[in-house]
Amino acid sequence: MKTLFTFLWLFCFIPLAIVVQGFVPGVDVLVVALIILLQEKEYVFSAWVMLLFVLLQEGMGTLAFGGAVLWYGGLFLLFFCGKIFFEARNVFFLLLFSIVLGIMHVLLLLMLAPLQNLTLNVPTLLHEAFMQALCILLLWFPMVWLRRRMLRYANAA
Amino acid sequence: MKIRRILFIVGGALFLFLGMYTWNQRTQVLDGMAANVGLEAVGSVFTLVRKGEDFFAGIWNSYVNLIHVNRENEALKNRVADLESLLAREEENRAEITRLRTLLDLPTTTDWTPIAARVLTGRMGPNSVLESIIVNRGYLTGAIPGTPMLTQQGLVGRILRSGPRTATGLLLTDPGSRIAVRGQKSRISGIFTGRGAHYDPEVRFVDPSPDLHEGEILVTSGLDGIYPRGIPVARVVEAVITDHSRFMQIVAKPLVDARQVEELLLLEHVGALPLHVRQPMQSPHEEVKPPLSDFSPVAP
Repeated sequence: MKTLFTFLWLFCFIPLAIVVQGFVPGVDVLVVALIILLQEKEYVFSAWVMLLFVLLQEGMGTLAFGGAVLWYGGLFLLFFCGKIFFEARNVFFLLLFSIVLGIMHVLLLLMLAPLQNLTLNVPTLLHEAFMQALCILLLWFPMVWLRRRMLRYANAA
Repeated sequence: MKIRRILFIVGGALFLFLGMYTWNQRTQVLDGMAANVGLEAVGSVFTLVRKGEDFFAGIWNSYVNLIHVNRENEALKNRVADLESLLAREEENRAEITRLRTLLDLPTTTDWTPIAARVLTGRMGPNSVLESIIVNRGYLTGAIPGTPMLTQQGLVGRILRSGPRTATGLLLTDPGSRIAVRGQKSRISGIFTGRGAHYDPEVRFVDPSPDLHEGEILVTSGLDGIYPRGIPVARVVEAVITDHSRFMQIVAKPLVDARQVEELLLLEHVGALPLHVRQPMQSPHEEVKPPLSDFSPVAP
């Protein structure tokens, strides 16, 4: 039941997140769904969703294939490392995690751009990192609230 | 023991990643797959969004916002009459040029067919480093990589990567963009180079000349083999002869602000046949436009 609900939730979330991404250049909005799934310990499901997100991000991006793989791979790694020290559903953990993801965005692009002879605009990159951290924080709360509420209705039904 | 296992797994994953990355750089298989699946999915979502926008805008414009429509209609009718007379004059000039070329036995230049396309969105996602846009045309509908993109004001860029019906276009402001240009009046050549969204592009490798002035329009020279010659690109805003370089220092502002573009034309390459022999490529759902063999610079 929960898996079916998660499918439906993702089916609604993904198009909306793609539209929002169109308004915030350089920011990954899809990542919020992945964080929520990891916090709910849906690890196998998260891995499949990650593959879909990799295809979407690589498709809409302009770098050679590999950036999104590192981005989501790093997210998984950081999440499991962070889980050793913090409670994954804690707000403080989320705050730290979003900041670390913002920093990771900068580091990844600084690493990948020279491989393809690309010039990066560092102020734009820092702005994107800030927006990435802010976006995770701002979207996580309403998404979790909405998901829990809908799940409660689904269970009751 | 546990730490060693973790290090082994991380090292293995990095090794696999590097293998995948280099293999893809050589074969482009994964890039193609991402364009066919990811870019296409994004294009489908934004096509639906734009259709919804059009629907509500249509309701608003057709039934609600009718104030001043009559007055605007009259003004537009007058404008159409003016443009028709101008077009008739230009048609005469064009016919004359064709006659003279035939007389001189000049080879007919490679021809291009314009295809209308819609901008779905700007650059998006954490991997979109380049200055780019996403358009609703793909390799099945005329947007193969390298296809020039332009508006009636001038050049916008070229197609970088294509899915079946969606493509990513590289803007001329991107630092990786290079276009062979020439001054419209001075005929001096150079390489138009983007410097990112926040800075005006520069024109490199221009020999010092007093003939190139601020305000001159730069057009494509066609020497790069990507863009047809004669498309307006930018206006020179700074042209300085310096002592410390053997080339001029030129800054130019693009004629088209790519952030404001909603629709554009893609120039599909249709071969080098003479105008009177070639038939325009036609899709059953598309309006056929006459092929463009020359580009008359449009005054901004």
